Formats: sequence, structure tokens, C-alpha cells
Amino acid sequence: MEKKISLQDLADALASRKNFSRREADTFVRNFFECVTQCVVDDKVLKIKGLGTFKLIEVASRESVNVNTGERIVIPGHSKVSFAPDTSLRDQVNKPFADFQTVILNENTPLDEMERTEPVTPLPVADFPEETDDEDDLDISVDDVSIVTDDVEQAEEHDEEDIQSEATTEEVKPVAADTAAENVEPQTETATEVHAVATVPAAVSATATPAVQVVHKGISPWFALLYALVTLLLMGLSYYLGYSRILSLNIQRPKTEQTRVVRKKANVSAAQQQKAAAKPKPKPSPTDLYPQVPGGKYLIVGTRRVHIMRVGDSILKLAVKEYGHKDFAQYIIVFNQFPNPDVISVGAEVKIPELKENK
Amino acid sequence: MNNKEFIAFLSEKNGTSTRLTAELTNALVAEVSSQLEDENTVSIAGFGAFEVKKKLERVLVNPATKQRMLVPPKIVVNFKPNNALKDKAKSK
Repeated sequence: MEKKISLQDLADALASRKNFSRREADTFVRNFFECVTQCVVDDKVLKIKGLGTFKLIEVASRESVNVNTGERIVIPGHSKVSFAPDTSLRDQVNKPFADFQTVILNENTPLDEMERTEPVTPLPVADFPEETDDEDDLDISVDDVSIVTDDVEQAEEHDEEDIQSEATTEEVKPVAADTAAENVEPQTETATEVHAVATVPAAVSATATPAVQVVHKGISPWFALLYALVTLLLMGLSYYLGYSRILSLNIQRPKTEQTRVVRKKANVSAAQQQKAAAKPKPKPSPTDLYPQVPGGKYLIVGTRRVHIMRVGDSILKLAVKEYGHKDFAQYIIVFNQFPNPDVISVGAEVKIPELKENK
Repeated sequence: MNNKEFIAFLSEKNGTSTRLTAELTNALVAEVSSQLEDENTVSIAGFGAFEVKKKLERVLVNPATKQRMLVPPKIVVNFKPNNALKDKAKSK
């Protein structure tokens, strides 16, 4: 490979090939190239089969500048020898790449960019676009989620929801409020909730689940969190819808079970005070009646009292005053379900929950 | 000058039959080709050097149609005339 073959080597090879003496072969090769030179110079064109064409090309005179002196000089016209290999030789040499063919590129092939980015790819910078892509995906998926919830909304408007599912969703709402604190916990909870809300029309689940699956294709690490968020959103929405229905129009309910009717009546009679809703006759567990802090050490079992916010009050201060530690602010926030717990107006009623240790 | 004329000229110079010259010429050409195929450089004193060069793939644009084409990589034979040959050509 990449050796330098001299005239002598050629002569030797030729001698061995043709059973010639080395001296004869040597003279032949010498004569051959002498002849080539002579022929090219004399005839301007020489074609040798299997090797190629030698040509004498005229070079026109041109002006140039002497690099050292800056003087303008004229390079006189002259001739030079050029060589074009024969097709057979060209193909023989190009054998390793013979399979490649010139490809016509489409107009819209972004080749310039490809070529530009190719040398860049080894750099670590190339990782960043991928991440932003992921974020984009997330954004899109959030949009999808909202679409899904819209579907759910429509589906639910057509269907009468029973109180059982409302009670369960009521419980889930705080989980939505507490977003990223505990990923595993909400997921398992919601898994059970999905079963509880099996009474929710089949159309909802039919529309919701495929969309969710499509959204999470390829982003497995986010799957759990997103799935939880989606289900929580559904729950929260159904809660609001169902809740407002209880408050406003609460007459036409399917009277399937006596206990439900009783509980609904209780809701209706004490529409202004949520507290009243918590005391229906068939004693349900406190987890069904009150929003709970997911993974919290204490359960919210009732309303201790109602505090009216004054200037300078804060939920943290309330928590310290009532329970002795600011960490209990979480319970107050969850119990009152503030849309924005950072901004609470003066005069707002803040319910202080009664807490019981969770066993 | 074509191949036939060249062989006639060469055989005259060597004082051998054209058949033998043609045979030898073919053998020599085959030898040079096989050396070039192995990516060796064949350099002949007083004449020049045949060498192979690897060309990278490139994009070619037809200026008339603006059509872009991807030209594959290839190996080409290159001939570099020696100074002696250059001078001879120049003086002509």
C-alpha cells in the first residue's frame, strides 16, 4: 500500500509476467515512456488503450505579480501535459466505491444545515436541543391533557354523577394542590380512585385513557407524574362540576340509593357552610368528607373554628398559633382549598381544621 | 494519435513486431493499473508519476437548473508530469 513503484519495478514485473529478460523489459519500458513523451509533444494527443489519454493543453499567457518584488510580470503562454484516465482504469481504481452513485437531492432537503451540524455534534452542546425538545413535548402533553379534560367535561354534563364519586374526588383534590411533593403517593392513591370512579361514564375513560397513552409514549420517566396529574385534573374537574351542581340545582338526581339521597339533602340544606356537609347521618370516614394532605401525619376530621383574616395575618402564623408549628399551614391550605394560598384577602374566612393523628 | 498508431510507432523504435509490442504494452498497462489499484504511486523518471487520490463526497449544484446532487466519494488517478516532461511541453 502506498509504495512508490519505479520504472525498474515495472520492468521487473513485466519481465516476470511475460517471461522476458530483465534487460529487454527494462529497455522496453524506457522506450515506451520515451515514445509517450515524444508522441504527446509532437501530436498533442495520445491515447493508450487501458491507461488513458495524454493531452497537451495550451495555457494562455497571463499577468501576475512577483511575490518578492511586487513587480508586475507576464507569465507567457505555454503548454502542459494533462492526463485523463481511461474508463476501465478509472473503474478499476474506484472499485471500493463503485456502488456509490450520484444522488439528486430534493429541493427541500436541508443539507446545508446537516453539513453544518455534523461537525458540531461531537460537542456537548448538542445535548441541549434534545432537552428543550422534551420540554416541548411536555408542553404539548399538557395541552392534550386540557383537551382530555374538556372531553370529560362534556361527557359529564350529559351524565348524572352520583355522590359517591364526588366524595372520592373531593378527597383527591388536595392531592392536586400538592403537586410534586410526593410522586409515588398520589399515583397509588389515584390508581385506587380510578376504580372508585368506575361509576363515571365509560365514555370518559374511553376518551381519557387513549389520549393519555399517546401523550406518554416515549417519555417513560415522566409517565408516572403526568399520569397522576392527568387523573388528578379529571378528578378535580369532576369535583367542581359535581359540587356546583349540588349547590345550584340539586333536585333531579337518580334515586337509586337511599343513603345518597340523604347525604345530598344534607348538602342542600347547608349549602353555605361546607361544614354541614361533613355531618351526614350515615357516618362516613373523615377521609371521604374532607380534603386530606397526602402522606400527612394527621387527618383532617372537622372544623375547629373559622378565623377571619386581619391585616398582618398569615396562614403560617395561624398554623404556629393553632398547632405550634408552621408546617401545619399545609393542612389549613388543603382544608380551605385556596386557589392561590399566597394571596388571601383581608376579611377572608379561613377554616381551621381539627386534626387527628393518622394511624 | 490513437493506440494503433502509437504501437506502430513504438514497434518501429524498438525494432520489434507490432504484435509483440501490443502484447507488451497491454502487459505494462495492466501492471500499472494493478499497482494503482493497490494505491501505489507509479513514478517514472523523466516522465511523471501516476498516483491515486481519494476524493471526499461533495454536493454539486447544477448552475442552470439549481439542482443539487450528492457526488459520492471516489478514488481517482492523477498524473503529475515531471519537470523534464513539463519543460519539453513548455518548449513546444
